[in-house]
Parts: sequence; structure tokens; C-alpha cells
Amino acid sequence: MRRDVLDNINPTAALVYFAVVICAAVILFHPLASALSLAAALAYGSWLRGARSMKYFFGFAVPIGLITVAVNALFVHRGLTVWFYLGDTQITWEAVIYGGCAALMIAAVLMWFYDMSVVMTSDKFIYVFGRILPSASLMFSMTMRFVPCFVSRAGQIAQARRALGCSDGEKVRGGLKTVSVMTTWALENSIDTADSMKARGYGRPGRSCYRAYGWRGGDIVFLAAAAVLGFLVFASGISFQCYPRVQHSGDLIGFMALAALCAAPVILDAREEIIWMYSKSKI
Amino acid sequence: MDVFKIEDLTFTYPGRQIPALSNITLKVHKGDFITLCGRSGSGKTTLMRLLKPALAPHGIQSGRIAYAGADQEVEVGFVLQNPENQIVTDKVWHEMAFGPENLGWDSETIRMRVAEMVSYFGMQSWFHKEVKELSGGQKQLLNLAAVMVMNPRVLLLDEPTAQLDPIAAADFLDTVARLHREIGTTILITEHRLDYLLPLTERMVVLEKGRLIVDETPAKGTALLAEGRHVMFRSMPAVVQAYAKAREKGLPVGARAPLDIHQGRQWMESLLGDVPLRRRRMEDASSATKHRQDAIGDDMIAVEAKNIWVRYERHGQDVLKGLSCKVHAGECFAIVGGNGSGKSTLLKAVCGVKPPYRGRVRLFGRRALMLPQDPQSVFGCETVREELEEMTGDAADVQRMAEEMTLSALLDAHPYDLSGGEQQRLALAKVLLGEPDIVLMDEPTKGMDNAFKDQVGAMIHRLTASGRTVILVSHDIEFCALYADRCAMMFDGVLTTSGTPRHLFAGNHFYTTACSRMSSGCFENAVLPEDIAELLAENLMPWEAAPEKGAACGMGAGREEKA
Repeated sequence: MRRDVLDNINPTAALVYFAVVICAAVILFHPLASALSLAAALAYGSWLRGARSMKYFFGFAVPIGLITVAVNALFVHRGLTVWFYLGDTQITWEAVIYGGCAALMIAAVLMWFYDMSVVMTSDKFIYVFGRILPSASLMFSMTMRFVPCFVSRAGQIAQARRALGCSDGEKVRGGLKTVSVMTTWALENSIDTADSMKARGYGRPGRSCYRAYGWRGGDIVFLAAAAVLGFLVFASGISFQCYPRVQHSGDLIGFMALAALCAAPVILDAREEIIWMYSKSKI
Repeated sequence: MDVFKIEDLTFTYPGRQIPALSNITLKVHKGDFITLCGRSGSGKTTLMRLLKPALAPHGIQSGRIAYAGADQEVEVGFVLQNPENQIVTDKVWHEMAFGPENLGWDSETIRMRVAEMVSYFGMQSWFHKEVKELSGGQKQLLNLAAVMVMNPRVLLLDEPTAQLDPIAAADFLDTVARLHREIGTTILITEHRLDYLLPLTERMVVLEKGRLIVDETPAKGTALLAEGRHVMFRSMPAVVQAYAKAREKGLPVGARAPLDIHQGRQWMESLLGDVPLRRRRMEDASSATKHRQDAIGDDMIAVEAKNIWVRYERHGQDVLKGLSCKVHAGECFAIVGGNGSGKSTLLKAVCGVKPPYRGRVRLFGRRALMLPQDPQSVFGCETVREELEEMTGDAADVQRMAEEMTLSALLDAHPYDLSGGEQQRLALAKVLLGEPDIVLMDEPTKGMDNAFKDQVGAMIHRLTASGRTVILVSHDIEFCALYADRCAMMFDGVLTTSGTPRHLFAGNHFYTTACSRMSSGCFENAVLPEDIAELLAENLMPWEAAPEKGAACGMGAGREEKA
């Protein structure tokens, strides 16, 4: 991952930002808004992860979008303008457009979630929810630790059994056997984990929660700016309807606020980069 | 000042007749560095756990354990054997903060202590990593750091390096020694790998069947064990064994046993002095027979790999890079080499779990099965009997195999309730029920004490005696030198050299047995404690008592003996 503004601000601020942006895309449901949001999400994703984000976009978000369009056009027959008949099924323009808008919105949301998964690592979630839900967040962290362990162990066991000449040609039974071996193993080995927790004082009263991040002035400014832009977006009355016929409303300020909101990480990252280039030139 | 005062401690597990610990009296002074040794099941772990109330086992206890300090629970830190299972959270930094959080420290204090610990242990480069990205050695260092961050006065370590490769193990033990030296932490450690640890420690406590039999400095303690020809002696460092073997032969070896290679070399030099050497070379007993086997030709080849290439991911690195080798039928072929050199991958290629994408492996119609590194990975049944029945439908076969592996008394036990050695035997029994011609073993001695290694060695000899071929990979050079017919060294995806253990390890200067390192310069080809004792004896015996042809010296004499 490259240097990034959202990665460096307080995780609570970053999480609030993602929540506002994703809510905006879902609630507005306006093709222009979705397109703006998607473009910003793509730009941000490729800043964070380069070609890998494009792979996710074309390999996952685009197919889902296309399926959405097709399903909506084939199974929804509302709308006044008939485009053509497919056998006995009437395909209306409104249904196709609605499908297209939904596809744009879903793609935008998927890409924002992708960006969020890059920035908001598990430890940041734990930080955000650690104070409200201390034991749940510890459980979450332990799960994040346990799952990769479990998966790699399952691979080891399947391999060991194959090398032992068991489960020849019986994929399903071999798999079930692996699961049963895994369960025994996990239960046995969790004793060690429990011992290690007890040995380090887990269960004593008055457990604290380490706050790895603090609040800085910039974090608060960022959060406040996101709130103002979010307010402008929701207050501007952007709306879109397909059925029975296509209608939309929205003013320039709303869209500009949305564009600024969605593009904020990319703009801020670009600004940092320029400042860095400039200060580097002075070295 | 005594940190722990243990008086007449006896401990019995519920439902057992024989106590796990009996009449232990031990004082642990402030700043002690104690190695606690003993065979598996001698009560080491029980004793350690009784010193840490949170981990103390249930049972009947008499006698007294007095701790001099305010809060035994916080001031005694404990590191367990398995690096993987001890880690609780998914991030390195979170793991470090876990203990302090439990003690209710505020964030500012935690930040300071963690920063201090990370800097002291040199963990900066992987502080932000996820636990799953770490190597085994790093994981165990993390466990140590996560305990040390709570600032314990006493550190208990229960076989902390059993699951690590030798280099990571040495690294870990060095860090522990540094904690003792610089921070003054009182340390109690149990270990099988005494070669490295014993010279670092100040006191050696030996348990046998729950009784304390030795509590001395390492130099005196090892000499005591050598004198008594004790079973535990097999677990002592190779240097000490060379000393004891020489002593058995009646040589004037001195009262002080050398502990490490440096001392060993000095000891040898002082013994030999200016004596002109009559014989300085060990001959290779097995080389002649193996050459004959080579001459027999290809029908004696059990496994032939020709230019094999293996990788795990399509865009990943090659792990095996055009490896070729031949393994003879009925021999034990051992592959040594560092971490990530591709040893285990070669075994997977041979048994077909990971076929090469180029080149080929020929088994000539033989069946190759692999004994997994961790026996638990093939246990999925409720009883030992079911485990065995899974491999064969024939009840008679199960009985026969159980007897052969001395598991008959345990047929109705749960596989996880067996001891480490028994689990290994059960896994091997499962392998053998599959009627393999070739048995592959991945690190069969990992985490085992020397007495158990001898059992594994005996098992290997039984297999080869019955005409089966054994291919094993190991980090354990001493074990390979003792039990393999041929050894090969793996590096960077190919086998660099191969030959008889003596040939390979005498040729190496760094990657070789302790005895070979100790005797290089004085003797040639001496790789085992026996070799050193034998050569010392021949050179130091009075002239008249010397063996035949005493006057003819050097390599020539050795050759003639063979001929």
C-alpha cells in the first residue's frame, strides 16, 4: 500500500468517512452521483493498490453490475416505454435504465468497500470498537488470528493424509475426515492458547484497552469537513426515479459537494505527494 | 536471596498412584539461570507449572513452595513450547499490548513499555506485521517479548526451542541469556537441546522419575552423570559425551568436563600435548559396502529423481531447481540443510503430493508413504484401535502392528492422550499398515530428547533391515551422522554433496557435528563422540598396551586395518 491520508488519520475518523460515502452512494441512487462516486473510488483504489484494484473491479464489480442490468431488464416489466420484446417478455427502457443505475451504485459501493478493506485493517476496527465492546473486539482479533492458522492447518492435514495414502479418490469423505481431525486439533490446541492467556493475567479485574492512535488537529478538521460536505449532499435534494418514467432532480452544489467528498482522499494524497516532491527538491 | 524456596514438594496427579514429583527440595536464588533437564515425563513441566499459580495442575500436593515477592502471578512469566498456539491476537503490536492490558495499565504506560521492549529485542522491522507472516523463530521471540513487557522478575521457559530450527533456537537462547545477563531476570528453562544451552547456564538441575538427582554447576553436574553412567547422560552435549567415552576407556581425562566446543578443543589439545599421533583418521566402515552397491547397478535403485523442478505458486519462486538424486533400496538416506532449502518439498515430490512440473521421479513400482512431521495431523479417530483400523480392514494386522510398535496396551486410549513418542509410533504404525516400500520422514526427531531419538533410530534400522528404504530430512546433524547410511546436503533447491555421513560431515567445517568441529585440526573423519574417544585412546595408550601395529602411524595404519 502507498502512503495514504486515511491510513494515517484516526481510525474512527476514517471509518466515519467511509460510512458517509457509502451511505451517500446507496441513498442518493442517482446515476450521476453513482458515477462520480465510482470514479473516485476507482481512482482511490488504484492509488492504494494499483493494478490489483482494477483486477477486482473488472473481475468482480463489473460482472456483478452486468448481471444486475440483465436480471432487472428480464424480470421487471414496469415502465411505460417498451424497447423490444424477447419472446413474450417485454423489455422496457425504464427497467434497463434502473438496472444500469443499480449496477453503477453497486459497483461504487463494492469499490468503496474494497478501498475500506485496504485502509481499515482489523486492528483499526478493534481500536474503534475496543472501548465500546472490549471483549467482542478481543474476540474479533483472536478470530482474525485463528482463521489463517486453521486454514493452513487444514491444508497440512489434507496433505499429510494424502501422503499417508488415506482418502484415495474419496474427495468428500476425505474432506469430512479432515474436518473431524481439525476439530480435535483445534480443541486440543486451544488449551495452549488459554494457558498463555491465563499466564499473562487474562481474567484479572480491570482490564484496560490500549489506544494505539490519538486524535490530532488534522483528524478533527477532516472529520468536520466530511460532515459539512455530507450535509450539503443530503440537503441538496438529489433524487432519481425510474418508474413509471424517468425523473430526476438535484442541483450543482449537491453534486459538487459529493464530488469533493468522494475525491477527498485522492486529492489529499495528491497534495501530500506534491508537497513531498517540492520538499524533496529542496534537499 | 531466594526467589523460590521449594521444600519437600510431592505432587500426584488425580487418579495416579505414582507421584509426578517426590520430595523435591530446591532453592532458586535471585538472578539464577537454571537448566532443568530430565527425560520426557520426568516431571520437569509439572515442577515449572507449580511455580506459576495460574498454570498449576490439579492434584494432591504436599510440601511447600514459598515465593519471596509481592505478586507471584504478575512477577512470574511463563513461555510455553509451541510458538503458534501461544499467540492470542493477530497483530504483533496487539500481542505485545495484550498482557499489559490485562494488568489494566493505561495507554501511555503500555506505549512506553512496548516501545522499550521492541527496541531491546530488535523487533522494529516486523512490529507492524501480522502474526501469520512471521517465521517460527520470530513467533517465539514475540512470545518472549510479550511476557517480558510485563516486567517479570522470574522467567519460566518450558522447552521454548523444541519447535525451532537450530539457528532460530540459538538466536532465542542467546536472547534469553542476554536477559539474564543484562536485566538480571531469574530464569528457569527446560530444554532437550543442551549442546547450546548448558554452557550458557550457571546451574543444572536434573530430574528423574520425579526425583531431583543433580543440582550442580554444569561442569560438575555433567561429570557426575558421566560417572554414574546415567541414562540422562545420552542427552548431554556431544562434547561431554566424548569426554565421558574417553573416561570409560580409562584415559586420564581430568576432573572437569568440557562443556562447549571451544573448551572441548582445549581439553583435547591439553590431553594430546606434544604426543606424536599414531593414528589420526577414522575409516569409513560403510563406504566399502556402499561402493559395492553402486556397482550392482540400477535394479538396486529405489528412488530416482531426474532434473525435477517444483514450485508452489504459478508466479512464485522455484523451490526445487533441477534436482537429481538416486536412493538405493534398503538404505537410510538423510537430507540435511537449512530452512527453506527445499528439503520437505523433495519428500512431497517423492510421495506424489507435490509432483514436479518438470523432470520426473521414478519409484520403479514401489509405494512411498510419508510420516508427517506432526503426528497429530493424521489422527482423527476416538481410539488408537480405530486409527489403525482406518488403514486396514484386517483385525489381525492391527494386532500385529500394535505389538510391533508396543502400542497393544494403549489400543483403547485417545490418540491425543499418548505421549509424544507414542504418538510418533502410532503415526508410523499407520504408515506401515499402508505397506510402503519407501518410508519418508519429515523431521522425525523434532522436539525429542536424545533417549527418544535413539528409539527413532532403532525404528529406522528395523525398517531398513526389513528391506524398506527410508528417506528422512532433518535439521539434526548429530542424528543423521549416527543413523543414516548416506547423507546429502540440500541448498538452494539442489543437493550439493552426498556421501556417507562420515564423508560428508568430515568434509564440512561449519555445517557439521559438534565433534567434527571440535576435532578438526587434530583428527580427521571423527564425527561422533565414539570416534574421538577411540582416536584419543589409540594415541594416549602407553606404547606397550597399544593395539596391533602401533608403530605404523597415520592414515596408512587405518587403511591396512580395513584391508
